[in-house]
Amino acid sequence: MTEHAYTGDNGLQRFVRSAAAAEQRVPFVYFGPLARVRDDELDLIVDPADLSKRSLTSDFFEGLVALDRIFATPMLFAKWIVGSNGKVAKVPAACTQAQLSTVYGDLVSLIEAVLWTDAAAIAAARAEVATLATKKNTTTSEVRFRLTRVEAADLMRQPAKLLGRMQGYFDKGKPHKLIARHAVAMSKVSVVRSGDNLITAKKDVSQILDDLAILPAFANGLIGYYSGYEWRPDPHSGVAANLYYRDCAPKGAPRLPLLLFYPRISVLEASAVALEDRKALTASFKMRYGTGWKKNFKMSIDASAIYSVWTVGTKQARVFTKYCALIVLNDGLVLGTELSKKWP
Amino acid sequence: MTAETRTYNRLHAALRARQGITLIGGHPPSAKSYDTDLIRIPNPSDPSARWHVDLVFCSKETLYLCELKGALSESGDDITKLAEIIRAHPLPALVPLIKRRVPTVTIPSTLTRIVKAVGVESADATAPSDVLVIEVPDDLTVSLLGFRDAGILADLT
Repeated sequence: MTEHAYTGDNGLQRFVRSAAAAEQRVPFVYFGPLARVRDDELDLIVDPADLSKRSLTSDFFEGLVALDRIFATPMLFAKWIVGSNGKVAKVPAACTQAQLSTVYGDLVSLIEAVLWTDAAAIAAARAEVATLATKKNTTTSEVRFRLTRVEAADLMRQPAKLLGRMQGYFDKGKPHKLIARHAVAMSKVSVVRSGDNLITAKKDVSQILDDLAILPAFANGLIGYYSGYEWRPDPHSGVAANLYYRDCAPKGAPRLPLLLFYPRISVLEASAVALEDRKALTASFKMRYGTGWKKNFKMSIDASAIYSVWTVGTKQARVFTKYCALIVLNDGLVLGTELSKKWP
Repeated sequence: MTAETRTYNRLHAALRARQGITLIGGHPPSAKSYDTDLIRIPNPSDPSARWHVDLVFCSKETLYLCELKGALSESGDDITKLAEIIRAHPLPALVPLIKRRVPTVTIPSTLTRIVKAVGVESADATAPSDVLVIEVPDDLTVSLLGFRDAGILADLT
C-alpha cells in the first residue's frame, strides 16, 4: 500500500518488492493511487481540482506485466481513490461499512479473488494491469541505453566516455548532476570486486576486462543504466529491478545483461576521498550558475556524503548485484552475483 | 514496539474515545496512518523540508499540536519545533493549511488558540510551564501536567 504516485524513478522504488513476490511465486497486489496531487502544492491554489496530478509511471505496470508473464503469477493493481483535495481518501477511525468499502472495497475483493482462486476475477484484474501498461506516460529515458558488446567493453575500460554519450544530460536539470558529472569525468577502472574479493593487480584487472569483452552472454548487447544518485537504496534499485524485467527480458527474445553505471560510488575508500575535489567542483558550479553558484553548490553538497564506498550487505548492493551483470563504479567494477561465480 | 509507538497508540485511542475532541491528523512513528491524514506543514525557512506533527487534534476552541516521545526528558527538540511551527503559522494561517490537507474532517470555526503539547509514556522531567504534557503510562491512564488551564482540563478530563 502506498499513498504516493510518482512519475519518474520514485514510482519504481517499490518494484523490488513486487519482483521479490513474483520470484517466490506469490501473488502481489499493488494498492495505491493512479494519480495524486503533491502535498506541497496544496497551498499554491484555491481549488485543488486545478492542480496537476502526478501519475504513477507506466513503467511500473509494464514491469508487473513482465513479472506476471515470466513467473505465471498474478501481479495485480487495486486503485486507492483520491479525495476532493487530490490526496488518497482515508476513512475515519469509527467508520461505517459503506465508508470502508468505498476506499478499500476493491482491494479486499481482489485479495478475496486471489485467496479463493477466482479465475475470472483474477483474469479481469490481470487484463486491467495489461491495459494500464499500454497507457504510456513516460518519455525516452536519457539514463537508459542500449549498448553493443563493443560499446559496453569500451565504457567498462573508460567509464569517463559516458560523458560523450550523455552529452546534454549533465548540462541541465538539478545541480546534483554536476556532482555526478565530476565523478564520471574522474572515473578510472583499477580494481574489480567479485563477491568479497578485491582484484587490484593491474594485469589481473586488465585480463578480466578482456574476458568480459568477449563474454558470450554479452554477444547480443547489453542494457546500460546510469544512476547519478548518492549511496542510497531507493529509488534506483527499484529502477534496476524494473529494467531487468521490463527491458532486459523482452518476450520471445534472449535476455540482455544489465550494466549499471554508478559513478558517485567507489570500490576503494581512497578513491571516494579523492573525488571530493572542492576546487574542481566549485569551478563547475560557477561555470553553470554564475553568481548564483553558491546556493546551488550548498544544496548539492548538503547530502550526508556526496561520494561513497560500495558497501556489501546493504539493500542497494544486494539488489544491484542480483539484477545487474556488472556495476561500473568510479574506480572499478563490481561483478554481479552470476558473473562473480566465474571470478571467485 | 517502541515507547513512542505505545504512546501514540494509547493517546490516539484516548482521544478517539473522548467526547468533544476531533482527531485531525496523525503521524505515527511508522509514518503509516490509515485513519488520519499525514499533515505536512511547510517550513518557510527551508522550502525543501516540511514539519510533521505526531498528533493534531482540537476541541471547540483549542487546536492541539502534540509531539510524542517515550520520555519527557527527550522532548526538548520537539517543543522547540512546535514553537517554530506556531511562529511560522499562527492560527489564522494554520487552520486553512490543515483544512486543505484534511478536507473530510470538520474543523470548528470557533478555534481561538493553539496549545503546544507533548505526549509521553513517562514524565521523567519537570514539565515546562507553557507546554501541556499528557502522560500515558499504560492503556488506561491519562495524566495532564505542565500547562493546564480550565479549558484544557474541560477538554481532556
